[in-house]
Amino acid sequence: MSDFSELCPLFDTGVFQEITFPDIRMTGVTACGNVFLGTLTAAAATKPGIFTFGRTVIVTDAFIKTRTKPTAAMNLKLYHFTSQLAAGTEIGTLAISITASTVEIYTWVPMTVTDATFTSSEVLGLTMGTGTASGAGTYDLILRYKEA
Amino acid sequence: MSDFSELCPIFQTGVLKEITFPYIPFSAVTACGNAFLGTLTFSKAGYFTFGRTVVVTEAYVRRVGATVEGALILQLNHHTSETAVGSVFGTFTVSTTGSGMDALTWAKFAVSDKTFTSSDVLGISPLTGSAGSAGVYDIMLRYKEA
Repeated sequence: MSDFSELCPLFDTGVFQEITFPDIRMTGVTACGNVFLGTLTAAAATKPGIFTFGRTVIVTDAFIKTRTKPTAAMNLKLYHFTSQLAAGTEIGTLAISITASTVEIYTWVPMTVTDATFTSSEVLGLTMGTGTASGAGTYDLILRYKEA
Repeated sequence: MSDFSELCPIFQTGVLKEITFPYIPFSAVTACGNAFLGTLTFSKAGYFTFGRTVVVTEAYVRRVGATVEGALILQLNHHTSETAVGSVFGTFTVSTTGSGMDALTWAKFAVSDKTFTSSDVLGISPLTGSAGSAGVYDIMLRYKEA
């Protein structure tokens, strides 16, 4: 049989998929840190933490579930980085409240997302816009993306 | 190259995928509540939609933690909107006996195929049982593109 491994992905263009990132402990992230990139700023070339999609995709939606509420209201922000060391571009936000009326600890809440294209080596980021790291809570994240 | 982004999804029709919802703490859900919609009746902030039309065909549930919780029935629900009454399309009985549901195993829901359009809302709720000791679960859904 022929090798369709290069041909078949063409027929996935525009096809949606989801990916789940469980148990994200923002409490372990410094205020300027990034939960997908780590908190290291010096000798950044040795950063061990990085997530790339490995092919070109477009992130279209995101949902957040709060496992442990933060001790103070905060904003979660999704970021797109062209490289590990580049400054990020914000592509999504969600305000996390400490009142029950906005975020309950078992519901999946949609983030406000602007479609963002990630090429194979571009880097996903998740940070806090406001809030203190020490009481920042724990979250599950589902991203929806489509193949490009 | 042409833009296949509208054409290609047609060729995905019937293709199966899975999605996992980790760590759903039913102990925090009131008996009438919904773990994907929350317990609030107004200004709901939490909901999950598929963003395109899919057909949910199967579901698996895993009880997290070794503690045997109170017996209950979990229900998968389909809602046409956040506030619409849900229709049940999947059930699973959680037993307090080891033979009914071992911790950490993936057990299968009884599911009737259910179509979700892009804005239809997924729900999961306890039918019976005390929410205060309902336990924590991971849910995995299998669906196919429509």
